[in-house]
Amino acid sequence: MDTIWEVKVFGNTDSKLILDDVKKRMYELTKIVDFSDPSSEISILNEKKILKSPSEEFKAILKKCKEYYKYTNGFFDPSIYPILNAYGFYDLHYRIPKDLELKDIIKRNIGFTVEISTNAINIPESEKLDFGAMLKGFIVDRIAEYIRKRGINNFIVNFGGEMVVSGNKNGIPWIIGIRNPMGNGLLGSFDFQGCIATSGDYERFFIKNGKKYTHIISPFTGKVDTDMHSASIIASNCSDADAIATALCVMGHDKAVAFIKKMNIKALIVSGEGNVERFNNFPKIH
Amino acid sequence: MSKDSIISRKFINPFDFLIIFLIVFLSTILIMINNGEPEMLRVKDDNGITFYSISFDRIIIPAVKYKEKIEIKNKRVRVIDSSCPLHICEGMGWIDQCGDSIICVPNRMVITLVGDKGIDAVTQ
Amino acid sequence: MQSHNNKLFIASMLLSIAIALSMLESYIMSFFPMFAFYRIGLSNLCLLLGIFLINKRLLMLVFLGKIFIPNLLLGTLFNPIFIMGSSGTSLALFSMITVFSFKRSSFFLISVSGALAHNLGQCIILFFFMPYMLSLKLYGFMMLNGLISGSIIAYISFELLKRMNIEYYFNY
Repeated sequence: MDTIWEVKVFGNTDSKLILDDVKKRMYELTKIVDFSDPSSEISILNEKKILKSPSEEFKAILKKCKEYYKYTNGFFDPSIYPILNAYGFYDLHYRIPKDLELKDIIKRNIGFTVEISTNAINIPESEKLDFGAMLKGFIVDRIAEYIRKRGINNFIVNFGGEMVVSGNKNGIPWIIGIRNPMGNGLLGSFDFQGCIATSGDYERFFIKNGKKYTHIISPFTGKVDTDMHSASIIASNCSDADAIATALCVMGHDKAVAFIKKMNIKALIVSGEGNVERFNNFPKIH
Repeated sequence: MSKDSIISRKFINPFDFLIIFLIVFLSTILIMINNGEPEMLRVKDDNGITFYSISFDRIIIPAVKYKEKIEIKNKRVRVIDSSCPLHICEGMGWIDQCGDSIICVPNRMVITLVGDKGIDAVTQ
Repeated sequence: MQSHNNKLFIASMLLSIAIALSMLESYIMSFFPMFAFYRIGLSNLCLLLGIFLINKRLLMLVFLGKIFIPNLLLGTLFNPIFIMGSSGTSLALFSMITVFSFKRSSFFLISVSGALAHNLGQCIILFFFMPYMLSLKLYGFMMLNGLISGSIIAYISFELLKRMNIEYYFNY
C-alpha cells in the first residue's frame, strides 16, 4: 500500500525501538491485503474463492465487514470490487463503464456474503472483495493496541488520515485538523482524543469528460452520484469509524443525515456547495 | 499646580535611566522573540478558518466572493490583487515569520503564519 | 481673574495645537497604511503642558476637545480609530496626572508614562475588537516608540516651560 502513515509518540525514551517494531507490524498487516501480491490472502481468496487457514487478522477483518454490511444496510459493501474494477481503479486504465455493463455486474453479484469457519473462508463464485473502506481503520486499531501493550499511552497512529489519538503531550491535547474536501487547506482543527476516520471524494478519483469520478460508488447502482464530499466520524474504534464514513459518503446527504441521527453517530459531513454539518457533539472546529 | 511644582522639577532623574534600560531591554526581547518556523497559513474570513500549507509555491484564492489572491513563495506570503478599496493589505508586502499577519479590514480577512506546532495530524 | 483669563487663553492655544498636531499625525500616518490605526502621540504634548499650566477643569475640556474635534474634522468619529485614540489618550492623561502628583517625578517620567499608557490603551481596545492584530512583536515596537516619543515630548515641554515666564504666569 502506498498510503502515507505516521506514528507520533510523546515522551518515551525507548520509542525508537518500539517504532521499528511498529513498522514490522505494519508491514505484516498490509501484506494480508496487498492486491498486487498474488500470494497475499486477499488475492488468493479473490482468485480461488476459498482461503484455507486464514490468519486471525483476516478472519477478524471479514467478520467486521459482515457486521458493517448489515449495520449500514448494504451501503458498506466490500464486494464492490467488480464495480471499481469496471471503472479502472485497479489497473489504472480509467474508463466509464456502460450502463449495461454495470447492470450486469450488479445482477450477478447481489450483496455481500462470506462463510467464515475456523480454518477456511468461502465466497461465492461471482464475488470479489475489496475492503479498503475499513482497512486503514482496522490496521490503525491494531497498531494502536500494539503500542499500548508496549506501555505507551500518549501517541497518534495515523494511516492515510484514519487515526487513533491517545493521551496528550504532557497535558497539552493533540490537535487534529480536518482536510477541506473542497480545496487545498484544512476546514479547521480541534483538540482530540479517540478514534477518527474520514472518507472523502478527493482520495481516489479520475476526471473524464470534465466530470469527476470518485471511488465513492453506490453498490446498488454502480454510479458515482453522491452529493457528499467528505464524512469524518468519531467512534469507539477506528475500523468502525472508517466503515461508517465510507458508507455515509455513498448514501448521499439526506440518507446520511437520517442514518446519523438514527444511529446517534458523531459525525462531521461536508456536502453540496460546501455545507459543513456537525452531529451528536462532534467537536467544534476552529 | 503651583509654580514651584514646575520650577523644581528636573528634566530627568537618575532613576529614570533604569526605566530607559528596562524598556529598551523588554522591547528588544519582545521584538526578537522568534516563534519558530512557519508551516501553515491560517486564513480567517467570513467562511471560517482554513489552513494552507506553505511548503510549496502557489497562489491561493480563499474565496471567490472577493478577489483576494494570496501568493505563497519560498515560505513567504503576500497578498496580491485584492478587491478592497485601499489595498492596504497589498501594501503590507511579504510576511515570513511565525505570528506575522496581513489584514484586509473591508473583506474581514486575516491571514497569519503559524507553525506546525498547531496541527499534530490531519484526518482525511 | 487675570490669571483665569490667562489659563483660558493657554487652554485654547493648547487645544488648537493639539488639533493641528493630530491632523499632522494623520497626514504622516497616511503614508503608512498598514499602521492606519496607530498614533505617534505627538498631541500628548499639549496634555502634558496642560497639566502644568491650567487647572483640572480646563484640562478636561482640552482633553475632550482633543478627542472629538480632530476626529470630527477627519471624518473618523466613532471609528475604530477614534475609539483607539480616545482610549489611548484617556489612559495617557490619567497616568500623566498620577505621575505628576509625585512631587519628584521628572518631565521624562511623566511623559514616557503617558506614552506607554497611550500604547496600553490602544492594546486594550485591540484586544477586544481585533485580537488577531496583537502580538508580542507589536508591543515591543510600541514600547520603543513610546519611549522615543515620550522623551521628545518631555524635552519639548521642558524647554518650552523653561522659556515661559512662569513667575509672571502664576502671579497674575
